[in-house]
Amino acid sequence: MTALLELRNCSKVYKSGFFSPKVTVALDDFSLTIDEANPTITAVVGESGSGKSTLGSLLMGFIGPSSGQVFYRGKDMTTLSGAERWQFRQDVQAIFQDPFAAYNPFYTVDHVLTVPIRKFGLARNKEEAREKMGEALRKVGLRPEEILGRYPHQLSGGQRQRIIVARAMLLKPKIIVADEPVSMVDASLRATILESIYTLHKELGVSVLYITHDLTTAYHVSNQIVVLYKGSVMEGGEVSNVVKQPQHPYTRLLIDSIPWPDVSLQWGKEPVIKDDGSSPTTTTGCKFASRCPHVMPKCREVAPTFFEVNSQQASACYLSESSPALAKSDLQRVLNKA
Amino acid sequence: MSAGSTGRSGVASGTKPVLSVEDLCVDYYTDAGRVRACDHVTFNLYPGQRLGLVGESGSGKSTIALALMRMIKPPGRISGGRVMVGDDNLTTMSDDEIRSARMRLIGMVPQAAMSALNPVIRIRAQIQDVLQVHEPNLTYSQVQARIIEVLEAVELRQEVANLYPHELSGGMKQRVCIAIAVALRPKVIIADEPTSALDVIVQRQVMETIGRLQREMNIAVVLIGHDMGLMAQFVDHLAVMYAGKLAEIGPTPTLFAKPNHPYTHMLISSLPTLGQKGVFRGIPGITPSLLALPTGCYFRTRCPYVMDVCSSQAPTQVAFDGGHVASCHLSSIPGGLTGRVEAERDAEAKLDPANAEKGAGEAGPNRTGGFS
Ligand SMILES: Nc1ncnc2c1ncn2[C@@H]1O[C@H](COP(=O)(O)OP(=O)(O)O)[C@@H](O)[C@H]1O
Ligand SMILES: Nc1ncnc2c1ncn2[C@@H]1O[C@H](COP(=O)(O)OP(=O)(O)O)[C@@H](O)[C@H]1O
Ligand code: SF4
Ligand code: SF4
Ligand SMILES: [Mg+2]
Ligand SMILES: [Mg+2]
Repeated sequence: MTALLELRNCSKVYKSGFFSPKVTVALDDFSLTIDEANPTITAVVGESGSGKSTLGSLLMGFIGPSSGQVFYRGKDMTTLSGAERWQFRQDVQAIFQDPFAAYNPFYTVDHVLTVPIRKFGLARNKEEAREKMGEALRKVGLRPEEILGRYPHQLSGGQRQRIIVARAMLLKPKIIVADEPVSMVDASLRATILESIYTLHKELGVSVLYITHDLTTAYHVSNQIVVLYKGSVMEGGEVSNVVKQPQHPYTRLLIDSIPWPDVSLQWGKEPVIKDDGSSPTTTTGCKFASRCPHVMPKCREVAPTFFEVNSQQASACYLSESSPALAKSDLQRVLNKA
Repeated sequence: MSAGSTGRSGVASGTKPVLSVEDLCVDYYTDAGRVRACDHVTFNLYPGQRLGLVGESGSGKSTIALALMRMIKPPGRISGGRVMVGDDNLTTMSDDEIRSARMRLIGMVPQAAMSALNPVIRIRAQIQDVLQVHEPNLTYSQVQARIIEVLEAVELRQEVANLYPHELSGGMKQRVCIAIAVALRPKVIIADEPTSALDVIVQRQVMETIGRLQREMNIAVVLIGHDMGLMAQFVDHLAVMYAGKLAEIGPTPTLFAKPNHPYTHMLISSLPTLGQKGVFRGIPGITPSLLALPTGCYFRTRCPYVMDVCSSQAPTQVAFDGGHVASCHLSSIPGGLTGRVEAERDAEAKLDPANAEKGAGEAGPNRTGGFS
């Protein structure tokens, strides 16, 4: 069966600076498949600069890969016809960090919902359009009478973000790429937004790529997780496995650094080693070597491939060398078992 | 060194608070009317203590921070109450006096400070500014020595002094802001969401530094934020704000184990823990506008335990053991909030016995709380 969307060995390289170009490998040999038949929520976690947005932009067709290919329904993205592009734009929707950045503050929030209805011909008349808007808003836990007719500044950050989720819902997409959708809202309001994204996934069978730097919400909302560092996947698999028994030193450091809301847990047992810059994104070795407490000479020479530590978890680290090796592009096999 | 070691210490009796806030009120005058963003807030901070100030955005946290520094600008003003640092009354100081007291008595890392660093001025000059304004008698070499000293205190190499803000990472910029806040060796520092924009590992490193300054220089810290996880791990006392008022204040372990305000309880349970994957407990509804506050208890529009009395009477502060204070009518009924929460849990378990066995390992979220 052909996948809905597939990244096959995608890399994205940026060169910045004119006289002495600095090369950044924003994403390094990354593969991911999103099936229509079996919708999932995949979390992509990493600190800022790890390549999360680059990955999201590739999936949404905003940018093309420097090497590798992106396929939509089995067709290379660069060869889509006009009609296929149109279909793609309806199938793949985005939810961003600052939901109203792209909208005119002088329009009421209705505008955010009526535009896609008109553009994609989702309703026959005004009546039906209103009904659809109300339904979508209620699905994300908003009361239409409290929302329609208002201006963005009259709503809370959490409400605005849920309107964007409602908008996505109207379009009945197959995939939602949510790039840091809750990082601008209060911790206490995140739950409601994530819950509405989850509802979307459950009720409409939408696959979600949840991009975040926050492992706690990733753990909470997703089935499977991919941990990115300097453009490379460090670890991936079923989310509970990865969060509760992290195998990669970087994942361990990340999890150890989370301040859990539990006074009996100790925060930050493992020391943080500062990056001395000896493992840039262009290294052929392990990108975490410059901060790894377990670094060995070979780590700096050749980057480890994945090792399948159990049927639902793979770690790109020589510490897991005794487990069966897995090709870079086969990570999906492990993810699919989650 | 671990970030979480607060060195939680009981305050010896007879110790005087280093910061004492009494009935503090701050009003802003807007086109639509007057809003009270800080409403009769009272708390004490003892030497070396770590106090957390949590609440949703708009609850008045930054207003308190600015009021403590006497930095509320017109059309806002402090409309009542006192702020004492030791024996100095900040609220009655003249403008000249307060200018010299600021940063010397209380240092501050303002909200979004790292993006407010002047982009065209080297770090050295930004720290130098503070030193020269407040300690004009220092010689040039003394100033340079102090710059190196404060950079070292926040674990930055002295070469950082020669750099511009854009040459620093987010964590380094925040360290520079902390260096400025402690440059005059204040007894108290207020850090307003110092790590909100930082990644989790960098957050931990920055908090370790603040924690070390607190221990080594015995500085009392007011940490402002909205992440109860960070509060659980860093502060020894916690104050919960809602719509300009203190809903609850007390020792952190007490507030986590036995909160006496429904809002505190909901803030804690809105966060994911390792044991409860997939359980979302959002807080329904939104904060009321300060221009149209409900009668009685401000939280009643979102409170699952609301009673008749809550709409007619504002709750008053009730003191419990160990410096724990809460403003909720439940405190005067038998069993209090704990009784209600337990009754609710029992009822839920009866309705759906399967619920009790769900939890860890569950693949998808199950709806438990009221979502608006
Ligand atoms: N248009 C661009 N030009 C040059 N470098 C870029 C560009 N976009 C991203 N990068 C670099 O690529 C890396 C990954 O960026 P990004 O995907 O935005 O990471 P994240 O979303 O995880 O913060 C970073 O080092 C960033 O500086
Ligand atoms: N300069 C100002 N003028 C008018 N209203 C203000 C001003 N600053 C803050 N407010 C209002 O005071 C309330 C508290 O704001 P703030 O102290 O910034 O809250 P927090 O830091 O908890 O997010 C908000 O309702 C805000 O709109
Ligand atoms: S491969 Fe080597 S350097 Fe990389 S994480 Fe594993 S032990 Fe550390
Ligand atoms: S006073 Fe009433 S409405 Fe307010 S928090 Fe307590 S129970 Fe809820
Ligand atoms: Mg990004
Ligand atoms: Mg604030």
